[in-house]
Amino acid sequence: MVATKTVDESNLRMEKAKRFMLAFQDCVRETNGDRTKIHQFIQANLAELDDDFLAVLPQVFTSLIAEKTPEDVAVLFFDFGYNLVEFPLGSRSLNLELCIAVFQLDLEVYQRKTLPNQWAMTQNNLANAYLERIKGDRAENIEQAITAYQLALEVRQRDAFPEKWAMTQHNLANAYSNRINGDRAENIEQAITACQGALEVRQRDAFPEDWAITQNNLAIAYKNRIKGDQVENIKQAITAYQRALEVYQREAFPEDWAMTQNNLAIAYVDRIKGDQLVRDGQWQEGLSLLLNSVNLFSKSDNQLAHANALFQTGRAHETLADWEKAQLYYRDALRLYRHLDDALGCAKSGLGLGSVLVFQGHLQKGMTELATARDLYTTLDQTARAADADKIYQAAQRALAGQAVEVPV
Amino acid sequence: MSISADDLFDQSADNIRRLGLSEIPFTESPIDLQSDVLRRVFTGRQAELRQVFSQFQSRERRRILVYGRIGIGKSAFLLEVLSVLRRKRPNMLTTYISLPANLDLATTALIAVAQAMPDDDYAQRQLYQMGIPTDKIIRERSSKAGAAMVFTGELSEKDFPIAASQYPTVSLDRLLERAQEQHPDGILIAIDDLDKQNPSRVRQLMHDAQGMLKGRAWFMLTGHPTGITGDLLTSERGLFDLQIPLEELDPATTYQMLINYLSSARLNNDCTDPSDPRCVLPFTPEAAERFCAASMGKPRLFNRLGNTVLATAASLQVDRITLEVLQQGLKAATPSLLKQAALNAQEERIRLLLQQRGNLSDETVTIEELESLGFRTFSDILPFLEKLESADLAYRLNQSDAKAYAPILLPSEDDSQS
Repeated sequence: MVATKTVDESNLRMEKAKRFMLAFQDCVRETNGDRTKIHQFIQANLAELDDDFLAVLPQVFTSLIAEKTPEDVAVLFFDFGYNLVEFPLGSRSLNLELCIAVFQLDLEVYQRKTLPNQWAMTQNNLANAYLERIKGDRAENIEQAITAYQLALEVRQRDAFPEKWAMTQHNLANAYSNRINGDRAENIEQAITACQGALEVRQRDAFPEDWAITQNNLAIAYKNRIKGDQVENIKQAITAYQRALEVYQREAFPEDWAMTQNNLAIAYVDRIKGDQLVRDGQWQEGLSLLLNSVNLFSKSDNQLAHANALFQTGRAHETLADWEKAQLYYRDALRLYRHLDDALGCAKSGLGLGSVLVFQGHLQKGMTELATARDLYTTLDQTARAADADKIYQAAQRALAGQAVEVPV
Repeated sequence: MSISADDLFDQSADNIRRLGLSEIPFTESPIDLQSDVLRRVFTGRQAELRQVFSQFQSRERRRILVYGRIGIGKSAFLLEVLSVLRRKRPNMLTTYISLPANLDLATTALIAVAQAMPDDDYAQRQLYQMGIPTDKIIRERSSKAGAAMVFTGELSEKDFPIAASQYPTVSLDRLLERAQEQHPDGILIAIDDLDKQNPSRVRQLMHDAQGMLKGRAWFMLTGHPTGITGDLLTSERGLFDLQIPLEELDPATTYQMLINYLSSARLNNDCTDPSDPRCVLPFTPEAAERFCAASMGKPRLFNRLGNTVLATAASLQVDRITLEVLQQGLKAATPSLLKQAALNAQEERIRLLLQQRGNLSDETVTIEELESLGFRTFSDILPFLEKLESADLAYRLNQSDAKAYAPILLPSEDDSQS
């Protein structure tokens, strides 16, 4: 009796999900694929998308194939994944699981031998979803993404499909930049190589926006590069950021502009950390870029980006030994991260603020911030950062107890 | 019966004379004071002056930074140092200039030195080239002896076109070389009001002026504490030999400052003995003490309040400033400060929140409070708080672990008389 009921419920869920997918198909057809309208449809039916929906998707896929052609169903599922991957509402984690599920189902239809282009395109999109996946082991997700990109590239060869090849190279670079497994230095080299490859096709005149995006990512890779001369790497990063900014005009792409300004500023600050160029006075440029990005984000709805820019400005001031300003910006960042309930942001800005306060001799206040940051890092399983916070906390405690110690910074 | 304008003028002067004064001695701007008046009214800062003067006992040129919050008396301090040096070091060329907007430090210094050398053709030519009026008509001179020896060869003259100095550092160096010939004790260039500029611009100015600052002249600069100090540039590069912070004056010094100001304008007695009640006339000693407390040891606020209180007493046609008269004077001060500040709607909202809350600090302000003002961060409202501070409507609390501001609370019309 109980078993029958469960089967019935499962069928009901399947039928419901099927109805949704068919309605989605109608929407795509009626709107001619207009993404804004499709997003409005998803928003209106957001309640439909839940774990049950995810669980019955394979049944829906099979059921629909029995009624339509496999290619039609594959197109429908692809459209769904394609539109959902950038959908901003609902549970991001669930949305990405749904994307992975539909792309994997599609691969049952899009076989490499019979439909190589569709297969490669689906591999590319599947990889994108894995790269952003929230559930599961992050390192493993990135590996899945790299594998899928590489599979896509087996079909998307440069000579035959230069633009597609460049796009997947760009994505692959992104995955290598974020890779956790393997040798970090080598991963960044792979990222640089892939970006440079993409840029051979993505020329500024022909594809200005794509060119700018890849320049931005190339800059990030250079900024993080471990191999080679550090100062030279930062110089390359700054050049690439500046190139991206040639395209990202403030008026046309305010958010991209601000993000790249912000990245450029961090690169300048890193340059200062690189010691040799401290005396170039380019810290001033770095700071003014950071302040520009803070200013722009303060007017946008992207509060997290605003908090990040504030945090980085605090860190830049700390690097420049301007303790008062560092304190001010760390506090602003901390307040906003708290408001956004962003634990990692709270931890890093708390650590920054605590260190600055301790360094200035405000031991008690500094220790309070450091203890909170340490606990947050512990909760987040970031033991190394928790240990950093604790190290300064302990030093402050010893200083408070009257022992002559040097506070590590 | 209508009164003529002349009579009104006389009446107004009588009202001040009724208080036993020849004029209202308070002024917000020390630059307006004559050297001998400044000498009489400048009070305190002895430890700071001692530090500066000991630098001047050195043969080597020095760079001195005087910093403090707006209205703390940096300009008066600078002018006092210059005034002493003019008396004690007649062979030193002392120059003073307020940093003009959009001008670099080298050009500013060039203008200051050139203006102090009215008889020097090269100096006057520099001014003329920059479009700054000079007393003498300048003609272009070309030399047959070669470009490097402009003034030594045979000269011919023609009208000179106006053009900005392209290489102010080089021109300044040349000018200083000439000035040194006439002033064997050296040249002191005092550049005031760096704090009126954006702090990041000040940093850039300082960075660009490193070569000049380490050149032929002595330098004294004034600035905001966060504008110049506390960064790599000044702390690590040794840009200044001496950095002097100016803080609020203590109550005894503020009281003495009131004595000195009043004595500089009093008609019938020049008593400056703090133990003699006549030293603060027309104030009663109680009112004088209350007045000093209200000015919080901040020289500019002291002068602003002094102006309003004396003007109120004059209009009341009294001959003594008692506690009651003082109260009325202070009540008139807030509207007067507000009028001077000309706050916009946003600034007024922040002022009201500050008054309502008692203080605003980056440590305790909430995101809801910030959002109620239309902002998300304390750094966004900081410029507004600084504007309120410069208008003497707020002050920064002496708290180094947070940026905290409190309103300057003066008696209002709603308050009962104390």
